[in-house]
Amino acid sequence: MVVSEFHQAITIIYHEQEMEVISMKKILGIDCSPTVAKTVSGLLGENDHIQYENFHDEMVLNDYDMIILWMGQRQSNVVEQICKLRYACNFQNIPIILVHGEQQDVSSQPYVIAGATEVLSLVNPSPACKHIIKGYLVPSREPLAEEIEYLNPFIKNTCHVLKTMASLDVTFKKVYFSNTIRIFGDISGIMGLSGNAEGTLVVTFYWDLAKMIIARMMGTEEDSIDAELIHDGVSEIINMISGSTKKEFVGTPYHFEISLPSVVVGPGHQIGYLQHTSVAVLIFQVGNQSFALHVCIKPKAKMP
Amino acid sequence: MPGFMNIESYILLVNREEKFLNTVCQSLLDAGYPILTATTMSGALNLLSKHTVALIFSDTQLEDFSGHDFLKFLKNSRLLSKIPFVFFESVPSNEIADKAVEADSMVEEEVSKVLEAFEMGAADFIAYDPEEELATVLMERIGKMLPSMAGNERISESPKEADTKLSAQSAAAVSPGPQDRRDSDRNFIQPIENVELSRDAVLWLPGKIINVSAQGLLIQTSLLGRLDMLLYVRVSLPAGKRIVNSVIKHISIGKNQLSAEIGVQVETSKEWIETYTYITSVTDAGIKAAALDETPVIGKKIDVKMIMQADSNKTQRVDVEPLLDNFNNSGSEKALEIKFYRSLIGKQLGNYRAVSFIGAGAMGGVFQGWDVVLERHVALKVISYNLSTVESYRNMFFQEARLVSRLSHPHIAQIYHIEQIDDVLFFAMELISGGDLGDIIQDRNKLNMAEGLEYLITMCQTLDFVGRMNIVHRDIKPANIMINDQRQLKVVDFGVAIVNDGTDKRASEGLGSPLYVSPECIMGRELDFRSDIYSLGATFYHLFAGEPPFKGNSVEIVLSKHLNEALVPLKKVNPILSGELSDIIAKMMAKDPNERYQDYKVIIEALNALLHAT
Repeated sequence: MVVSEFHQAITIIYHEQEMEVISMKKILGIDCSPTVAKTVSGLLGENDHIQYENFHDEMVLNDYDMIILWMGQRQSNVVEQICKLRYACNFQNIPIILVHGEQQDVSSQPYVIAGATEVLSLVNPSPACKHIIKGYLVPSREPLAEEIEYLNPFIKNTCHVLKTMASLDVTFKKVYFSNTIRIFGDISGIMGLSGNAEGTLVVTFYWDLAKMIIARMMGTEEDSIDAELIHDGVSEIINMISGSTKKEFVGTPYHFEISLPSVVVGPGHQIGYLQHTSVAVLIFQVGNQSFALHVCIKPKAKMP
Repeated sequence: MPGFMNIESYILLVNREEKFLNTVCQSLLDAGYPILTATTMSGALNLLSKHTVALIFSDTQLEDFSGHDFLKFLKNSRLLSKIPFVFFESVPSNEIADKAVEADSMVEEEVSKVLEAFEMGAADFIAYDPEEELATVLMERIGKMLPSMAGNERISESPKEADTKLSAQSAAAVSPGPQDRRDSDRNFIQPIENVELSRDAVLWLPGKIINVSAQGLLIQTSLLGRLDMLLYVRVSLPAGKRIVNSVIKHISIGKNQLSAEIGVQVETSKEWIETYTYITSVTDAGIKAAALDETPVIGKKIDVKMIMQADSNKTQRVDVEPLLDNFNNSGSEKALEIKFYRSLIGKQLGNYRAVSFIGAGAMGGVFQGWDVVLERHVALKVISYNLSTVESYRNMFFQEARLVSRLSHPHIAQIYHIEQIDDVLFFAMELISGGDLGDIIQDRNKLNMAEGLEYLITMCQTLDFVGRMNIVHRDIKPANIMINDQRQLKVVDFGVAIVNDGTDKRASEGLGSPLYVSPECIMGRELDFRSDIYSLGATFYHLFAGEPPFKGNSVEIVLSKHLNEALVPLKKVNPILSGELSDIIAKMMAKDPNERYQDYKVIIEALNALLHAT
C-alpha cells in the first residue's frame, strides 16, 4: 500500500468514525423505572446514548437531543414537570416525549399545552413507537436561501428595536423550523400579516424577561410593572418589529401590511398559520434569558 | 373543590393582625378555599400582581394604610377595579351594645363609615363579633358572592346571622357592588362551550364560556385586549357557526401562567339571540337533569355529554386536518402514522429538507422538500412505516421508482431519488404545486369545455406513451392527475403499475379505485393499456358530468355496476355537452376491452376534431 492510499484509507476510517459520533444522539430519560428504561433503550437501539435520571427542579437540558419523560405521577404533577422542563429548554427545539403504559387513550391536550412534543403509549406497536421517536431524532434542517432572505430583516430589526427601545443587547442564537406556532412562553404578541405576502408573526417571552424589557422601555423599576403594562408593552414590541421590518420588504414579494397586534397569555397555545408553510422560530438571547420570534410568511406573488 | 370558573382564582384576606389571619386562613383552607393573605396594602398589591383574585376581604385598618385607601387605589385601577371588595371589621358585641346607648353622633359616625365604603364601590361591609367564628361568616359570604366557589354543603352549613353583625344587605341595596349586579341574572354553566375569539375576524383563538347572561359572556381565553375594545365571538351552534359582536368590559389577569378571564358585553342581534338561547338551553338541560334525579350524578350526566361532544369534534378534526390536531388521542394506526409524519417536520433527510407537510395518504405522507445539492424544490414522499418495514412493500416502492425512472415525459411526475435513512424510506419527486383533477371536479364552474377536452387529449397522449412502454398504470383517477400552477397535467403514483411483459406476478391482483376501475381489473384478468383507457374515461366522465359514472353505498355495489350496469350517457347527465363527447367517453368505458378504442391515437383524433368544432 503506498502512503497516499494509506492516508486515504485512514481518512475514510476517521471520517466514518466521525460520522458515527455525529449521528449518536444524547437522550435523557426521566423518572423511568428499570422496566421502562429497558423498553425505551430497546426502541432506540445502540446508536443513541440514553442516560436516566429522576426529575428534579435544577435539571440542565442544553446538551440533550431529546427528553423522554415517564408519566408516573398524577396529571397535575406531570404537567408541572413538563412546564419546568420546557422552561429549562429555554426555547430550544428539544423534543419532550411523554411516555406511558396505558392501554386506553390518554388525552394529550394538557401535556402538549404544557410543552410536551408528543404523548406516546409504549403499549402501541413497537415499530410505531420506534419510528416516531426516531423521527424526532432526525437532525433539524437548516434554513433555505430564500428563507434566509426574509428572516434576516426580522433578526436585524428585532435586535434593533430592543436596542433602541430598551437599551438591550440582543443576540440572535439560532433558528429552527416547525409546522405550527405553539407558544410555550408566558406571553406573546401576535401580528397578522397581509398584502403581497401573508402570514403571522409572534414574539414570545417568559414573564420575567418581558417584565424586565418593559421596565427598561418605560425607564422604570420592574416592581412598578403590572400585568397590563406588560400586555401593552409586548403588543408594542411586536408592532415595532413588524412595522420596521415591513419597510425593508417594499418592492419585494415579501412586502406585507400589518394588522392590529393581539396579545396571548399562558403557555401552549396554538396560533393559526398558513397551510403548507413552514414556521421559522428565531431564538434570541438577552443575557442568560431567551425569547422567540415565530415567523410564518408566504408571498402571494411568484418569486422573481 | 371550587367550581371550574375560579379554579385558579384566590380569595385575598387582608388584615393587620397576622395571628388572626393565620387562624381564619387555616379554617378556609381546610374548607377547600384557595386563600392568600396580607397584612399591608403593599403586600396585598404585590399578591394581586401575581395571582388571579376573585374576591377581597379587607380590614378597615391595615398596617400601612387604611382599608379605604386600599379600596380607593383598586377602584382607580382598570385591571383590579372589578374585583369584589368586602370590608370586615371587628366590633365586639358589648361595644355595639354600648354604642347603641351612646350618643347618636357615634352611631352616625359608624354608619357614615359604612356608607362611605359603599360609595367607594365596596361590595359589602361585615362587622363581626371577635368571639364569633369569622371563617364561617366569610364562607357564608363567599357562598353568596361566588356561588361557583362554594359547594352546596357549605352554604347549608352556614350558621344564622349573628344579631350583632351589621349586615350589609340593606346598604347593598342602596349601593350595590359590581359583583351583586353581575349575580342578578347570571347562569353558571359547565365550561363546555368552546368559542373562538378574534379582534380582526382573521386570527381566531380559542376560549371557553364560563358564564352567560342576556347582556354578555364571561370567557376564559388567552386572547387579551383592552377595555371597550371590539371582540368577535364565534360560536358553533347545531345550526352552524354564529359570529357575535361584543365589547370587552372586564379583564382579569394576574397570575403569570394562567389564561385571562374576559367579560364581554354583546351587541343584541339575531345571532346573539340564537347563541344565548342555545347556551341557556344547554345549561337548563343540565339543571333539569339535576332536578329530576335526586342522586348526585349530575356531573356524570354532563360529563358524558361533554365527552361525546368532544369525541365527535375530535373525529371531525382528525378527518379534516389530522396533522394540525395535536390533541388526537387515538392509538389507532392512522393516528400513529400521523404522529410519525409530524416528527419529521423541519428535519433533514439526507440531501433533502422537509420544509412543510402537505398531506397523508394510504401509502405515506408527502412533504414539500428542498434538495440542498441541486437546490430545487421537491416533493418528499415518506413511506408509511407499516409498509416500509415489510420487505415485499419496500420492494414495491423501489420497483415504482425504477419504473417511473424509465418514463421520461413532461406529463409524468419524475422520481429523482429513493433512499432509506434511519428506517425512514422516502422518495424525492418532482414537486407539483397546484391541485389535482379532483379539485377541478369540485369547482367545475371554472372549467370550460375546450379546456376539459385539452386535458383529456393531454392525458391520452401521456398514457399512450406509458402504454407503449408496456406499462399499465392501474390507478388512473382524478387524485392521480395533478395540475401545476401553469395548468399542466402530471400523472403521479405508479405504485401499483405493472409492466405488461408477462413477468409481473401482480398483474392479476385486483387493484385500483372502485369509482374508476375497469371491469377486467375487477375480475382479475390480464390487463393492458385498455384498462387505463376505461379508467381515464371514468375519470373524465366524472369531470364533465360532475358525478362518477357509477355510484353506490358500498364498494361491492359500485364494482357490480362497473361489471353489469349500462352507463348513463354523459349527455343525459349533463345536457349541455356534445353528443360526440358523450359517445367518445361511452366507447372508452365499454365493458368489453375489445369494444373500446384500441389505440389512443384514435381517441386523440376524435377529441381534436371535437375541439376544433367547438
